[in-house]
Amino acid sequence: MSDEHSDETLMLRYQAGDAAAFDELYARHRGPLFRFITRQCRVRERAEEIFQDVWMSLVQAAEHYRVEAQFRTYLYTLAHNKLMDYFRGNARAEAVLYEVRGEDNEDETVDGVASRTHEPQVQAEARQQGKAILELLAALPAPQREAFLLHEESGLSVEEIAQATGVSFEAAKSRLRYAVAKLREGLAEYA
Amino acid sequence: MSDKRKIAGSGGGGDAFERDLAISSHAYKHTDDDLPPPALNDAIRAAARRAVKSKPHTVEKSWVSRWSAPISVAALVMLTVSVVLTGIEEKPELAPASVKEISLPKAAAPAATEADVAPSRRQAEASNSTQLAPPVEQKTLGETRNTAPLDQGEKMRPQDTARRRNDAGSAGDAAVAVDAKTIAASPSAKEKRDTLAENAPSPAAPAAIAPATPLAKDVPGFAAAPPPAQLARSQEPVAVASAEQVKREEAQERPSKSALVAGAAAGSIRNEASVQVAKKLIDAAAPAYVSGTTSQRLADKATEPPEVWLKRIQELKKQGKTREVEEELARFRKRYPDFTLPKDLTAAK
Repeated sequence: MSDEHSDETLMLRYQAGDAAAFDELYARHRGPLFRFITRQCRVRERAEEIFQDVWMSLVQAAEHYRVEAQFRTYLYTLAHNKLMDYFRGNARAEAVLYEVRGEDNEDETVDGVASRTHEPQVQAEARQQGKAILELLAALPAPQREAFLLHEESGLSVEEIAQATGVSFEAAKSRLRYAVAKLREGLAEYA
Repeated sequence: MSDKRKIAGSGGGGDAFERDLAISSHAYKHTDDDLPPPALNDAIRAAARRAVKSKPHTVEKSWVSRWSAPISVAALVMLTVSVVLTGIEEKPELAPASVKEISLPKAAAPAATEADVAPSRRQAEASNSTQLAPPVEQKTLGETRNTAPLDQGEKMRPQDTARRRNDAGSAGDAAVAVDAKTIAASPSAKEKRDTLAENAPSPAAPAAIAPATPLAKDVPGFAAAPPPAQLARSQEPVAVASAEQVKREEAQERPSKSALVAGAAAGSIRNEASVQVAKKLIDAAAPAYVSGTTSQRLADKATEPPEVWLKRIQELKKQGKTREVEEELARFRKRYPDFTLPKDLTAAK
């Protein structure tokens, strides 16, 4: 990715009044961020609200944006804070089971997986694996789940995960290790 | 992924962790690509565009807004300077105003015209009277002031009240006392006493009773009233007018307060003491004429009383200015042909 289209440059361009830069930035991060939120918040409507709040906060704070860290870290820090607010205000939300997408979205899911693997048997296995890991992920403690999602969805390093979640490097690393170990065990049992 | 390499290299047991992470990541990639609904995308993008449009642009300030403050300050300074200069220019007008007042016809200067005198002149008169008037004169002058009828239509203006308050000051009390005495002797004394008693407690009362003609007006050269000496000798118009007025008012069935006051004043003008006081004031004022500026003297020459004029001529004679003495005497004789000259000046003649 060239510097002209880096996240930080796009954000600075948007800060200067370039709405197209925001569109590009949004298109780049909307999927990962949305999944990061929906796979923790579990109630889809609430997840969409949090997702919108995150982007609105970004828009409102754009005037004061400074390139002090990676944009991704900045964006996911906002998302983390919004989720924490949500969890604090909805203590029972954690008890709500993760809502797996219904049949109406299944075709899209199949297409997505089919783009990676074209063989029918592989597609079926992959779909099973995906469903299994989502169930395993939902069973993880929230900090471990968040660490894994930050690593997988946004590609943040342990250090950046620590920065985004406001914990030490060792704590972030420990959370990620525990999450990975539990998922591996669950997948082995599922297989 | 470089991040994963970082994770692998960041602690012990990296191989097992890396392997487990790779398996978990592979499984996670097979999850569906969950995306926000299009409506939400549109809403967020629209909000972002609105935020950009509503952002205040750093437009360069226009010429007017940049220079409005300095221009305002400059205008204020100019206005202040012009006001101050105007005030300074107006101050010298005090002297000409005095001269104008002096040039009024002495005989026809009724006390009622006092209401039309400029406040600045009144202040000057008040200060002059305070400086020149000895305490002994207060009674006489207070009586003289009362020659002005109170009901001649003179209306008290705020500045008049203030000036007269100063003017009357200590003399006002004496004037009131004199008035009380005078009124007590009149037929309707009780009525007048009542009137005075009503007026006395208020601060404006002395001014109300007091004199339309201030003390300084009785000083030749400073006011329009003729010198008391001359009045005493030749029955000049003020005294005559006062006497006539007294007669007219005495003829009425019920004498008014003004008539009583005027009558008392007419009597007091003839008082020898007042003549002496007037002479003292003339003596005090004469050097001022001699030492005055040429322009002022020229202006004053036309209006100065004969006593003052003669005094000035005597001063010139003392200074040995024979030629000027002769010229002044010639002018004096032309103006006052019937006036008897002092012996020393007659010798000069």
